[in-house]
Amino acid sequence: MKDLRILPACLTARAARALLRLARHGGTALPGKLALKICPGLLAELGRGVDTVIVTGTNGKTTTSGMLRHMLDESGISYLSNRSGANLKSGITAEFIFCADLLGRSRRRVAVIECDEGNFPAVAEALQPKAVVVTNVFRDQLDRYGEVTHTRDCIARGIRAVPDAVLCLNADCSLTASLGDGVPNRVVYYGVDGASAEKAPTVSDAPHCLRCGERYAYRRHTFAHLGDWYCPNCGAARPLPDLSAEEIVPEGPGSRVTLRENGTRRAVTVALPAVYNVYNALSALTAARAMGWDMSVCESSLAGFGAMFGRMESMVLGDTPVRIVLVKNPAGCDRALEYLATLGDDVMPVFCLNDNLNDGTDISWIYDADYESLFAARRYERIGVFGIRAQDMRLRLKYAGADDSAVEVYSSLDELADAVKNAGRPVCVLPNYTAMLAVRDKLSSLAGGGKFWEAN
Amino acid sequence: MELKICHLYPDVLNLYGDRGNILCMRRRLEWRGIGFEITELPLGVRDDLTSYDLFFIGGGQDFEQTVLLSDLSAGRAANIRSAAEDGKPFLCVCGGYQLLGAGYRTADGQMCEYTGIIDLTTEGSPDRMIGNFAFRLGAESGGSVVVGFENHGGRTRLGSGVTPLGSVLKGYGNNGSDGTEGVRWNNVYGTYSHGPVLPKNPEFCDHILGTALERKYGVRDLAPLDDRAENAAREVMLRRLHVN
Repeated sequence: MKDLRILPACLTARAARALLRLARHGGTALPGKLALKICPGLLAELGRGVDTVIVTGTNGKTTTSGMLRHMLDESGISYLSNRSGANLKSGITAEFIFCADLLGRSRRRVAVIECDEGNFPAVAEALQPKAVVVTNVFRDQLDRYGEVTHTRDCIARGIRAVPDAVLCLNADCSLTASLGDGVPNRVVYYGVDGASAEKAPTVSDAPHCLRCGERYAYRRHTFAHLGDWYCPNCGAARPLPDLSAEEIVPEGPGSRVTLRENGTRRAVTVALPAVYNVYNALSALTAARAMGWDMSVCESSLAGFGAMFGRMESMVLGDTPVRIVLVKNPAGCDRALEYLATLGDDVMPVFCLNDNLNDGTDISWIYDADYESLFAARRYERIGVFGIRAQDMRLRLKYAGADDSAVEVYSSLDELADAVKNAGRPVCVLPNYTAMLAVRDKLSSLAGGGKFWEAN
Repeated sequence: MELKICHLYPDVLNLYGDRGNILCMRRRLEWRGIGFEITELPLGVRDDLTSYDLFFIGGGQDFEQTVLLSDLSAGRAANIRSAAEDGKPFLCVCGGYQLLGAGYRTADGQMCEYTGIIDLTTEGSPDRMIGNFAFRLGAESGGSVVVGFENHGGRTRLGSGVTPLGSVLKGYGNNGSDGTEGVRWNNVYGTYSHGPVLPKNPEFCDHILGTALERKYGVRDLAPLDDRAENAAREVMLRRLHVN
């Protein structure tokens, strides 16, 4: 017999959403929270009969989920997905409610769900996904999760609740790959064989063997702690990838990637730049196969998949071309800084730093990101900083070697928007999560775009 | 003048941006035209510590801390002890601070022996003490107010007669109950403060650099710097914590 609380829970969530929309509020958490209060088992009810893939991990969740949605769009399959990045249990529940009737019967048969690592155990257990993708484990929001291995253990706990799910794991990340050890699940690994880093990482988030504590050695490095790792002491090593990127050649804004799978090779185009997006493409392809989707459509769809919601997005404000690149942890930030460096000296970088709960209240990580390399080689005429911790950002830049007198501190979104409009050069904004929501909202409304929850 | 700075265990104790402390010391020497040399001594390197003037040890994960213990008992602990007894300045943060004590009792009662250089002990607890915090340094450490970010499960108790680094103004500090934060023993400065602690607290950084210079050259010769950016970031947090 159905839980009698489903109907009032769904009604309440819909009413709450209607009120929030009337108030022109972009909040996505409240309707789901209310519904779960009324009916704690709601998500499991709503997920019944839906083929779900859950994407979790530190970096690349949103882009990987975006690639999966694009694959389904191209395949003409309708689905539900938490596309506004509301990736906690409450937001995911809300998404399911709005795609179901009032009795909790879903109108969609397929779901692509991006899930926060801390919420993964509860969400996975409720949804019983067909496939789980773990992109990587990096240090991120340590104030919330305590330690990197804690994040990994959190995901491991969720995996124990879903023995029937196919696990799609990044072989190049030792923390992620270890999730496949000794589990009853079917496990599929992906990895990069064809790229190596130009320099060794300044800090590794996983320097030591999880089994014996010896320092890992690498046959090849892609970036940060990702690569062909092995333990010289106990013999633990990167699993052989089932799907690997054997060769990566820059092509247009993105790359041409030679894939190897079961001894066969074929080339695909990935429209998004840089090797971390090759990882995202591999994780999406591995998941698509686990879900049983049409692989030829999925592979070719990657050529047409552009930027995501603040991950790397461009717009024009007045005469100023603006790019927004989300940064939220040292590894992602270093990739964004490398990208910023490719734009040359004649841009205005704007660094935005908030410390709200969704960002992580500890901003110490900005000292683990390699801002030094950015300022070692170039001098910017104008640099902007914004956000609740703008002064900390300014100080970080000073110690990185920036000229403090070139740094402008904006105390409001209006000031920031004015500076961007009158920058006289292209602007590249690097915000963390909640700063990105605010800045993107402001700039895109001035540029005539939509609000974030309407955006794809 | 030149300071030789040693960063101990940068490969293991490297969480929470603490390497920013090395950067901060380096820049503040550089801006004053004082020479510096920074050496990283990772796990397994057996060089002794006699040639260095100033040491930094950061925080790490519990998992990595166990990797450390065998390295410490293989000689490193004795090195650290003699350098500290010799009055050389050490800045030790979080896990690096705990390691100087007698040991760590885990939440389930297991005792893990540390170096025992300073009379202090840490007890684990599943409830982490997390957040922005502020404390006032003791007069012997300069007396200024320090802001930082703490994130620790361990509760540290100082032995009787052991001087804390400072007294808590807002937040938890050593254990959340006795109002002490960190330790000051000889010229060892132990603290729970991440942030990293030095960039936003330039007076504290200069105090440590001054201690190292005084020990080596007999003079605390530090020209004033333009600290407007440092103070602006610090003021924001002091205001938020309602510390005057």
